[in-house]
Amino acid sequence: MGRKSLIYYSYKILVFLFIVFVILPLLYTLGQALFESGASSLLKQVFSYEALILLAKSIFMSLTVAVLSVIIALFLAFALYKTNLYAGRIIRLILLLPLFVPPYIYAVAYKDIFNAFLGNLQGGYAMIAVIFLLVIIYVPLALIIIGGALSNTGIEYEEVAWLFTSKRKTIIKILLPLIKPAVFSAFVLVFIFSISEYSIPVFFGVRVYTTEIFTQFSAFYNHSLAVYQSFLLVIICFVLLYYEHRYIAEAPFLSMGNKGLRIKKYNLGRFSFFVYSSVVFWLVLTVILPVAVLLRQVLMNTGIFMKAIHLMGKAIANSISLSMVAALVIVFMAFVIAYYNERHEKNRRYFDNLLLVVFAIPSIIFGISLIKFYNTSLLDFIYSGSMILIIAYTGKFLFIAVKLASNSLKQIPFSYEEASLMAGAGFLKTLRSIILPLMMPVLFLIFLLAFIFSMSEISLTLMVYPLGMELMPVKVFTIMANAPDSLNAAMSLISFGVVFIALMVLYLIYNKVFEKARYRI
Amino acid sequence: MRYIYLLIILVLFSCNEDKKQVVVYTTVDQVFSEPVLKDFEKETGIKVKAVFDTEETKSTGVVNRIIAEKNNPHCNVFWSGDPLRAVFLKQKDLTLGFDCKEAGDIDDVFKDKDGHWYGFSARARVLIYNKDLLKDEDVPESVLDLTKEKYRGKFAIANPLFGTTTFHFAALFMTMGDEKAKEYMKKLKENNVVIATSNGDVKKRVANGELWLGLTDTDDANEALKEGAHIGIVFTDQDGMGDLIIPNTLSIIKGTKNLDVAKQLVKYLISKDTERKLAYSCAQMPLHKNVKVPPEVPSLDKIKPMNIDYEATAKKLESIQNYLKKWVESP
Repeated sequence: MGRKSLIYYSYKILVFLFIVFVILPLLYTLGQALFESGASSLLKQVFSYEALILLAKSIFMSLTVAVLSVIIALFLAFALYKTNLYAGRIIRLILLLPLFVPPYIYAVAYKDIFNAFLGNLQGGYAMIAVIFLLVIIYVPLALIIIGGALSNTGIEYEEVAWLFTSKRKTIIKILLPLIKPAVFSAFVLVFIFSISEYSIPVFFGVRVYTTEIFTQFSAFYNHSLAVYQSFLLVIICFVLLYYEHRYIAEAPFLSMGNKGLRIKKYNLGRFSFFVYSSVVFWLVLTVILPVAVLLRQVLMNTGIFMKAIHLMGKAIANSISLSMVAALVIVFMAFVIAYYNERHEKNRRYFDNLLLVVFAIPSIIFGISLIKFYNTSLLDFIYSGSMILIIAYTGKFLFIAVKLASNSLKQIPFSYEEASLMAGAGFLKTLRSIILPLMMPVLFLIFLLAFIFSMSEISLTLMVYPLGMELMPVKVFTIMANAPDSLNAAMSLISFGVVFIALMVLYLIYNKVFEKARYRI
Repeated sequence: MRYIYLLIILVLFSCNEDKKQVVVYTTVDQVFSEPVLKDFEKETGIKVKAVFDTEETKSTGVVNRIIAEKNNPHCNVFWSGDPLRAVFLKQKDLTLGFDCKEAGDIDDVFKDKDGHWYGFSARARVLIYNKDLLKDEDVPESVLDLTKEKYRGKFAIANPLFGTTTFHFAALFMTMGDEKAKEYMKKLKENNVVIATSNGDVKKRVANGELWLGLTDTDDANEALKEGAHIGIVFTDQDGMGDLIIPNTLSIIKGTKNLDVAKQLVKYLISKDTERKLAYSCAQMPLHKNVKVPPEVPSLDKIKPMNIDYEATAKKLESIQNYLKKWVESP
């Protein structure tokens, strides 16, 4: 089968499945909300002065988080990807830890630290705490994107620049402009994640737009108003994405993988101590300190660890297998969709926009949509099984996966495929021998991210998890309601540990399997 | 062709409802409810599939799930930690009226008149205080005392939009009347009340000395004592309006496919034996007569309860919710 027909039909089938399984439930819920009586008064509430002030507050908070996250990630990415910092590769992996963990657990761990040093947080201090925590949680995401872009800037640009100017000017005038698209992408993603996040603001009693949605949904059971309010969030994310499309356009220098390019490492010289101290400080702040707080609580009650393991054993196994399946589905779909989008541009934006809508919608609304659509006698086999979770995670995280895969494909010149086809290799052989090997680091990273997000996604999981199925985040949060602090801490540590170990194992397998191709992350 | 037969058999097998299972959604903390459900499984051989609520969703996750599933309910039995959710579901026409003889000796005030919910094992709202920070003579005896200057900024309540705190404030509005209740709430704000995320958060903050006092439930207070916290417990307003008693409730969801099994679970949960277990695990007070309890669990006979109608209180809540929201959000 030729390239065009295989990819074309695969793409069409996947888009069709996505629309049927993911978009239709959302349309159904939106339709119900739109056509129910009192819709006009709901619209008035959505656009009320108070609601718009809250929205402005959310935007301010998310902008601050995005700016700070990107600045810190830029510094860390340079230190860890472009210098010979001691143990840089290991530190890079450890710094991903905040991504593994549901934000709520970080809030719980840090609350004790805040209380110890700052006392009871109120008003503006609570908002600062929320921003601080969101920055900690999302810097790793920005770090992966910016670090990947830095890895991908070929040495040639820098070596040529060094012939004429200093290293400092090379960084400012060559390197930074090259990675500007990655920086902007990181900014947009962090913004979208933080504006949709509600558990941390709720925890600290900070009122933002998403807490209002949560309150309407959970305290007032006003699903329709919550749905309307969610779409305002989606519109904002759309506007940002539009500018991102315009800004980065055809910029080819955005990737997450090192495709065998040589990377120029900078010698830190007299800045070594400062840079290293800063990186270690960040490591202590974001990983060691919260883990230490949790460990301290666990050690106050010996034997609690075994109890936690006993409680979570089955849930861990279920979560790992489910997240792996979801990650595989996401990787496959992302590759096909990204490939088709990059090689047939005209249709690109419509499906990207659909993916963005689902990504930006708050998880609880998405969950309710899935319940209302699938909870029928005809579709009960989906609702009552693991498939509902696969659909949920795929819907939620496909946007990021496609984005990353698309960006990686931009860097693979089409001429490589043309040359292969002209040499007589069929499309499948070209795919196997040229495209996939070049994309393998990115596909693996997409798999890792999809795996991490699926393992730690809580709001959506709670809404739709099949009856009787034990899952790790559900177990941690349901027991947390009235368990001793030491048990909560033990379960949180086990959650960290499980995800981290799973990632290490996958990373080792990846490096072993693809050793020959020398595509190391 | 044989694969088609296999497929048909598999489909039939998977469609064949397993009658030996019951689905229960519960807002009662998993650490307390799960052992009871596991005992039911062991004793009857009926598999229990449970959905629990979380600290994060604050007792609203399972209720929202029941509402969303209304056209094709999966839940057979709803076990709520308070009557409010049970009344709410009744108002939404999501529950079934049924006869429960096992609740015969429970006071009628703890049962729905139409049989849509039955109460058992109650908690009470209590004030907990840190004994290292507050002398006995300074301990308040009424929730109304929290407006006093000496407690300014030193006491907490959980967010009154969620959980049992919602119920408590609705009960205060019923008992005191709207005007006095609003005046009281205004004074609470002026006295810098700390709004915690949950009853568990209140317990934690009082236990660790961050605050002197907090309003919470007896099971949270009991957990704090078990964890070694140096706290005292006050059943409030014993010389006045009385203390709010919050029973667990059991409802059967309308349209449930396993009605007999659901009734069997209800019968088990409402039994004296379950009340005894909950008394030992989380200090919940039995509503049946003559149930053996540990010494630290008070008898309801010794607590003056607030005189309220639970159904009317739930309806009251609907009318004051917007006020409560504004109150929480006000500076």
